[in-house]
Amino acid sequence: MSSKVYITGIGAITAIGNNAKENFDSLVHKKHGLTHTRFLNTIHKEIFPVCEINLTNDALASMLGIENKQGYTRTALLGMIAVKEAIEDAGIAWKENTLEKKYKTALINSTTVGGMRHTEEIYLDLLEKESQPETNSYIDTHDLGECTERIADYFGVKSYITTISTACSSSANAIMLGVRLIQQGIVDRAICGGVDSLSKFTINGFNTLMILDKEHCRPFDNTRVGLNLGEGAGYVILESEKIVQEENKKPSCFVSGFANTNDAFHQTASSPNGDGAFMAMSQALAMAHLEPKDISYINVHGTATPNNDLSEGRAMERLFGTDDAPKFSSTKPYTGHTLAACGGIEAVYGVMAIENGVIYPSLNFNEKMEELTIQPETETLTGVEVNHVLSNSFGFGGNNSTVIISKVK
Amino acid sequence: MEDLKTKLKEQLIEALNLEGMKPEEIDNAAPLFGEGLGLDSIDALELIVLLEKNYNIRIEDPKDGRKVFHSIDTMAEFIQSKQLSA
Amino acid sequence: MIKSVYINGIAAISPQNTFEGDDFFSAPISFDDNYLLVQDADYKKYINPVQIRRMSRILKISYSTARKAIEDAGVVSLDAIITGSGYGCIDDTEKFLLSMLHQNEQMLNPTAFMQSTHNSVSGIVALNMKCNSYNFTYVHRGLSFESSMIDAMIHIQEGMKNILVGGFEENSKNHYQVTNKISFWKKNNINSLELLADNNIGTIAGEGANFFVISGEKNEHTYASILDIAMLYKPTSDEEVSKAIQDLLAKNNLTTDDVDVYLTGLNGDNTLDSTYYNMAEKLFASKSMLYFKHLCGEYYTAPSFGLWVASMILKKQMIPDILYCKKQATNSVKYILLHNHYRNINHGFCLLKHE
Repeated sequence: MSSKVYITGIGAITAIGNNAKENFDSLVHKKHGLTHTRFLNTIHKEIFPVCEINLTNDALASMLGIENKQGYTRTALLGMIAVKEAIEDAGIAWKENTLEKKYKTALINSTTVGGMRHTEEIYLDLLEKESQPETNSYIDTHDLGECTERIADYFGVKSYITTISTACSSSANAIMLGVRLIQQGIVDRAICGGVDSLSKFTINGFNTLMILDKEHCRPFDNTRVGLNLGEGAGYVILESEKIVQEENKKPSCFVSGFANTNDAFHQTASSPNGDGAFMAMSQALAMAHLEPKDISYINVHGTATPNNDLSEGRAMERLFGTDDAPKFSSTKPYTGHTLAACGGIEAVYGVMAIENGVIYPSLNFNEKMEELTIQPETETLTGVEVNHVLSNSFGFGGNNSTVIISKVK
Repeated sequence: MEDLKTKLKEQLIEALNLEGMKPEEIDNAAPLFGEGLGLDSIDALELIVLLEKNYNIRIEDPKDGRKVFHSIDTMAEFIQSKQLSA
Repeated sequence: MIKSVYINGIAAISPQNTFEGDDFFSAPISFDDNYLLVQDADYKKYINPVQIRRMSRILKISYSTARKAIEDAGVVSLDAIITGSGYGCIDDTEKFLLSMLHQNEQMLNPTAFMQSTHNSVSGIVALNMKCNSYNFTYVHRGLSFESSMIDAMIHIQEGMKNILVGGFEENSKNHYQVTNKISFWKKNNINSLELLADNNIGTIAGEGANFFVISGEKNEHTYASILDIAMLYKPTSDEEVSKAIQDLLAKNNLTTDDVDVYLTGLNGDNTLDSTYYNMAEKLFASKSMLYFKHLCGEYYTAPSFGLWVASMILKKQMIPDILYCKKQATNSVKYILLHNHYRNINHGFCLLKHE
């Protein structure tokens, strides 16, 4: 990799915390966010547990000081809260349109369903009834780019704005693009991550694929049957070496490697041997000039679907071996599968693992998978030297992404 | 039973959008997946919906589908056994 | 960009006859309901029967276009697949959404959900090409295609050889009806080829898939080179747009004088078109001004159709009459500036050169 790109700020909101610190505390104390939905009007309410953020849209808007929330989707609001934390964590002044005063900034957002949560509420009215100002204000919020523009406008980002959607690997891909834009000198700084809010559309969608668990999901467990959905947002601030030097910053981490590959195996399923996952992890290691043994912790994609964990696990065994493979865990039992947001949220977790010398425990693991030798970490490990965290995010369409975050020595 | 099988084939052709295929071209005993008709895991999920929609039969575990959907014969037998026990 | 970037293969399925043969708008097709649909191709030629049965209209259109572009470039493998689409597979999305709402969340079909994801197209191309490398989909409104193209251009700088880049969008009656409530479309039905004659709010809805093979090497397939692409978000004045154009040209050691053709995204909406006219007057007064949305309709990734048009002009060194908004004498076309904006929120600029 050419010039170093540093992570200078993090922000996350999930069912286990409204900011990064709260998320960290829940992870180390094994506090999951699973519940039954309080806000979604779905017939699956009592059947499928979800990881829902316990705040109404009004509450989210007031956290941001937004008085008239008409036209703001839940997705936009969640994204804004996490971006705000990340920007402030990086010590960037943003009020009164100062964010880009010195440095060209990109906002690279990602989402899979954007404004769907509102669309599904109003769609029949829109088709069958006369125009109403309240519903009309959400018509043009359905697409995936709208929430990005709301976030950009709130903080005053203007130089480079885009949105990525590659299913569940989306925000890992946003981070990759951010690094590349900085290395090419197109921008000096990039706000990268993703957001998704729970919707009936996704709950029903995953239900038709029969991969939702009615119990708490059990990543890498022999009895796993599926995932739990969640909502949330996670962002990192990436900055160039130039900014770090000029502003005399002391970042703890940098992005040392990444790769995006395609399984080219099936429209939704991963290949049983994890070819795409294997390629993503090995290419990312090669870019970072690291050996498999250098990795201190793997935050696996680990959705707990029979297919993902087998594919990912086999790829890990092929790459890291079975004897002294790195410690790994899935944080999906805490946050649920947050779709486009998970790569961003888990990058935030990776940074905190490095900063605090901690490895997070997987939850609900009891029985090793019959096909695998490796198994996840089940207790919080503290006082660990965490130098390199490898984070996996895999999605529909065979999209496999790996990001490696390394400690600044 | 033969009526059920013919009906089933028609429903299968429609649900899976097997354009241009006629019921008589599907062999009752031939495997639907892999070698035979070449259906895959997504089709299996569609067949689960088909059973629920047309026969009010629910398959909760997708793994159970594998045996049931082996062929038109096995599907018909399954439907009949469910209808008898109901 | 340091390394040159070439367009070595193109294909378009559009409301015009752009797919088969070598026709360049010799007989433009008009629509009279403000709702343009593509001229269907023989999709079976490109897609095997097992797959085609499950594919939605936009998947068939996009996949066939992608294959044709690859064929046109004469490449056998791709280093990356990058697509852009504002709404993705909106028909499957609506299908699933409406069944969910009408059937009270019961007995829903997985296929529509599975294919509703925006990256279905890039995934299916990868699956069929057995392409294990980089696979991205940009979904940022009127910049979805420009974002894809910039990513591809950076990849060429980083050493990749051949990249498939495409923009796609499908029209949907429900979506048309809903967005009509916020005045996206013209109130009266017009003849699409007379788009600029109707001086009212709204435009006409369109669709299409336009794919390109971008390469770091020039060869006998080359249509043009792409010098640069820029994006501008929410300009507060036309001066800001004009500055963005001048900065882009200056960055490439060019001035407005060098530009032979100003190819615009004029869409007939009288609340939106003034910026293009102002630029034409201020910066390109002695140059030809062209437009293309009377041929493809308005959609988020319509600039990808604009790029197809520009590629054809540069290769053929011919400008069909149907494209002119303002005609000035030109001997040859060396540089084209393609400028498109989506509702004055997302502006995209693409600077192309004849090779």
